[in-house]
Amino acid sequence: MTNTPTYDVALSFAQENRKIASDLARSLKKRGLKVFHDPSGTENLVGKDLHQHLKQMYSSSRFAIILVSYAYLSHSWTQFELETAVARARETTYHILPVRLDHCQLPGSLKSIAYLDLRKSSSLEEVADAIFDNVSAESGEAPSPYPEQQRVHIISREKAWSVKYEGRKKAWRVVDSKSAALALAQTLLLDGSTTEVVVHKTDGSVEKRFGLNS
Amino acid sequence: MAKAGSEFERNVFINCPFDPEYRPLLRAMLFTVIYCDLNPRIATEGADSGEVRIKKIVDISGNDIEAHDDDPERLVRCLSDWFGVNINPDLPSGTRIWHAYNEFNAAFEKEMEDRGYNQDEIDDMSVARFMYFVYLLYTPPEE
Repeated sequence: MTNTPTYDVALSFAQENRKIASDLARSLKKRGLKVFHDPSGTENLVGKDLHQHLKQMYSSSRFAIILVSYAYLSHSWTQFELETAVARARETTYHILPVRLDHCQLPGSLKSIAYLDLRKSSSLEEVADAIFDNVSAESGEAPSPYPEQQRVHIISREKAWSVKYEGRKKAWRVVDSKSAALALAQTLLLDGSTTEVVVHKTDGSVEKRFGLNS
Repeated sequence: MAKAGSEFERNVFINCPFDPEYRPLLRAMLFTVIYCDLNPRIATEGADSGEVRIKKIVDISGNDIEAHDDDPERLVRCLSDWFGVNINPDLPSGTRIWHAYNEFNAAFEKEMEDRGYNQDEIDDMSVARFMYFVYLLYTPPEE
């Protein structure tokens, strides 16, 4: 493993806040951030090596996003997760960004750290924007916003082919043949509506990728 | 998407051959289970391999799933329908899951390239590690 973190952020959360964590992970990924998000959370690691899990979680990311709540603070495992992140932040350039989900008291270790407050935000998207800004400011370069929405996939369907922008709910077009789907994708490349086309095999894997100059 | 129930009720036991020819089906199946916010449980799931099967309440061994003709897309649709009837009607459609699986594969391929995996390593990747990358790279459905 290289010393360069693979992920921009790692999400730390209690099982009770699993839904918010999944929604936030999705929003951050849409903004082009690489997110370490294990939906099962730390509490499902019974019998596994928690130290190893946390080491991997924090060594592979630059920011720990701590979803602080009554539930988070009531579990010994998530508290341990928090303590590990705080210790890493003290010893290295690691960053902690708490997001307060409810009226719980922030623990002492987080009181000197600026936090985001979901209660005062109009939506989770606003919180995601703030996290994106923090990560961009720290790295000195902004990840491309919504890069995946520029990518187009050509996907096999029963008796048809979808031309679909990544991350969108529905296909942009559904056509009868692969050649027709490729022709449509070419027009999207030419008019600048996309920068990359990913063509998939019928088993879902990638057959090829191409852009305007490839 | 409403939750299927307790953690216990969300466990899905997958009984599928691990032969290379079944790999596309197994991987599509694992993705579908995870995307539907269920917990895949399989016999070779690393640290969980000793877990007693009695704890795994839903069995998609194949007997309960209509014929899929070894086609991953059809399998995804079958699973979506079957989960809708047997676990939770409020799950993403088969088409949406299939699109998401294709998009995941693009991210997966890029991730493998970045991490220096060769094709043999990708093909022979353990189920536990593949699931790790699904959790890491997939984008959960909007509710």
